[in-house]
Amino acid sequence: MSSVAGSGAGPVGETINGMKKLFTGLATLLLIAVVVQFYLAASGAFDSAPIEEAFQPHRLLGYSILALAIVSTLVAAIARMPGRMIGLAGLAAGLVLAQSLIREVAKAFGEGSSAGHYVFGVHAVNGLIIVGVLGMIVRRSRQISWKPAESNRMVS
Amino acid sequence: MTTADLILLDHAVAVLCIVAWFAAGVTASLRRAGLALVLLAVALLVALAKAGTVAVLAGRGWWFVQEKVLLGLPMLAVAALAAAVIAGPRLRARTKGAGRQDEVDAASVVVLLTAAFAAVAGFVVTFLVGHPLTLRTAAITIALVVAGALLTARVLDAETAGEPDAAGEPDPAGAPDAEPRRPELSRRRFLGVAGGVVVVGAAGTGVGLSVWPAAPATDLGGGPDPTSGAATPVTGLRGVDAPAPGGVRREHVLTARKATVRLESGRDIDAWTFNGTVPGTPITATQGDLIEVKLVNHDIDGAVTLHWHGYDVPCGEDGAPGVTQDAVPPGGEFVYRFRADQVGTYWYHTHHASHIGVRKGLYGTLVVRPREEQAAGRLDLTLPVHTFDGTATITGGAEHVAPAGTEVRLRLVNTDSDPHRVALAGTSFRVAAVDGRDLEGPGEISGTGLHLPAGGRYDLVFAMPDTSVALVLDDHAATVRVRPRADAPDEDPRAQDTMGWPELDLLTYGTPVPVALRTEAADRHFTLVLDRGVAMVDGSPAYAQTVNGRGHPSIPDQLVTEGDVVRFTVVNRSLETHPWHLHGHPVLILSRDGKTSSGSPLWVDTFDVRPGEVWEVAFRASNPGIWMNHCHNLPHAHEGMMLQLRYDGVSTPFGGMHHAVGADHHDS
Repeated sequence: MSSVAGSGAGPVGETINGMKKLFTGLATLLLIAVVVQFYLAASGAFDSAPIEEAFQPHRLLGYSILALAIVSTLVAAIARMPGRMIGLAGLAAGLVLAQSLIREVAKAFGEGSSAGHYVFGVHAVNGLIIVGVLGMIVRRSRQISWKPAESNRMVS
Repeated sequence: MTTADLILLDHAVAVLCIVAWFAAGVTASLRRAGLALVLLAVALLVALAKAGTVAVLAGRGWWFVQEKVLLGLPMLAVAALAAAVIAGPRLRARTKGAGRQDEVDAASVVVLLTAAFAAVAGFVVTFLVGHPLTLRTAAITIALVVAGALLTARVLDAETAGEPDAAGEPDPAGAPDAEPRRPELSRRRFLGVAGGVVVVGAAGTGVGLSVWPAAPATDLGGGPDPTSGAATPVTGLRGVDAPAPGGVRREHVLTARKATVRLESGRDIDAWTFNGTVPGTPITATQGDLIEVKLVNHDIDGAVTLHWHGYDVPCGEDGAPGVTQDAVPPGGEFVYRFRADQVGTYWYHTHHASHIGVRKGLYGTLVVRPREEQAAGRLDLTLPVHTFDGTATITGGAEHVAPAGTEVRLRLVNTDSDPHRVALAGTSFRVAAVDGRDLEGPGEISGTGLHLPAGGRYDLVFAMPDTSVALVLDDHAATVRVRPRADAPDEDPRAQDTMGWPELDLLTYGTPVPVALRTEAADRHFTLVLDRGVAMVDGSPAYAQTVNGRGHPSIPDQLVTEGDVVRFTVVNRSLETHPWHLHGHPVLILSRDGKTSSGSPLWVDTFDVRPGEVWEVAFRASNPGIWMNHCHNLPHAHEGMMLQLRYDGVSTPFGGMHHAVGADHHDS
């Protein structure tokens, strides 16, 4: 079971390498999406429409990011990225899910209550942590996905 | 502890459970056996706590725990037990120095992470699916958890088999010694195949059930089937064309048009108006008058209609687009005609894409006074509350003067989608009417706040004292002041901390009077479980506001027969307030959270079902038609929380709600 899937050799290896690159691509896309997400949050905050409507794009992109993060984790697992990488991708997915949870918890304290505001502030901090984790994933996965291929080329 | 608190606590324990199991799995994969063992113990304890919160929550009603009891907990229990039995001894052995310390114990990691996946799956099902749990959901969920376990095993298999760590860090496990592994590998292969069979089987069952015919389009509520035979179209259910003896004909033209409106605060807003003002032209009548309103749509994109909120008009006058009429497009018109038999405070608003139209200003007030009332020497103010650009305002508010002793009536109308808190400082008062209907024996109260649901109305009455009185909205968002003399000072500032006042419970307010409906056996009983979840809304998937797990127009119609005594049990599983509104009928409040209404009979058209609450209401089916039955938080209705109550033998030529909703989707 384990002997076939060496990185870089044979058709299975090719597919695996392709998956690794796909993962790197997904992680980069996620990072960009999260940056856009910050922009949407800020523009929503200064929109005069009611909150539900002003943050509609932010919310939609948020759900998309969650779906993408889960897909990325699965791709990482299928591509046999190192366990730590899969763990990081899973962590990113978890942190994205936490963004919704923070919102729900803050809302549960009641609209406009100060405790709710304080809890909701964590949403922004968590957003920064997500950027950090994704940045780490992108940097490391680029090394993993391209280095062996380059070395292969140099050898041949 | 309130049910809402319990729901939150249960969510918190669920999150903790996920974190604990993941932590145990990750530490085990980092070869920290001792720490992993401690975390396993913690995770088991949290899983037990989760069972505890579910048990307590079950006491508040099966609706709150069904998916947890039938799927989430059993799945977690099996996975946690497996983790305890498999990973427990292995981890303990490792802490005592047995086994290869430098190698990842794949079996332990897999069972611990599988428990984490089970915990996640249970939580996700609660959040995304809610009530009711279907076999389809259960099958797919189990398939996903097992697939997650298999994938984890496969990844670990590769890693522990000594594949060099691609990150460039050589695997400390070194070269694999394949020989002694062989028996374990074949066992793994067996488990892998078995797991694969479970995944494919469960997923196949789930998908197979998805293409199975959906739930019936009609909910009979335990009553008889619909009769076949000629149906009356709603277009035949129109209002009478003459006032009652002694009444007059009150004709109005309401032209829906865009306009820039100056608020009392001096701010200009781009509004949608009736006759160029927000609120639109106030409609007033004396009991028995005939109200005739010609609605003209001048330039409102999409369309408009007029719905007479709380007024039990014949169905053809109800203004539900696609159900009782076609929505009125720009250039079109529609005439509404009905007799003002019902006294009290009501309002009208567009019912087409109303989550946008009403917010932008397409609403107005409707007040019908009794024939014998003496207007002289009274101050009677109609005060619609509306939020413009995030600022709550009271139209017709500001300052009024009424000499001491004057009988004052303040008619509050909440035209927003969220509830408001109202307080009257500087006098004692009575809540004379709720939703237009007089209460029995309302007592004098003071220092008490009122919770005004979205769409609801309260009539507050008091005799003017010789000091100023202030009506305070929310935390002083807006204030209406009545002074005994123009130069009288503001009310006592000590009375200003109105947010700290207790809230009036209308279920215990006033004098109880026997009402036959309260004890009559119900001919039909419908349960509406309100929640959030993934559902189809207008033909596309959404994180919807759902009724029994569905969004409009896929929520089954509720069928009633004329003369039926109908009961609703309305359960709010979500963390948001849902002001429930049935068109065409007032409902009698029977109980809230099992506590019977012990005050004046409370007839309302909109009742706020707050998070975790369970309301029982009843009404007599005495107004034939097809009636919208929805959440009056209008964005919620748009996001799926809307269905219809249909009388047996009534039909609509307008293509139904589906058509209406489809249309409104294009405009919004």
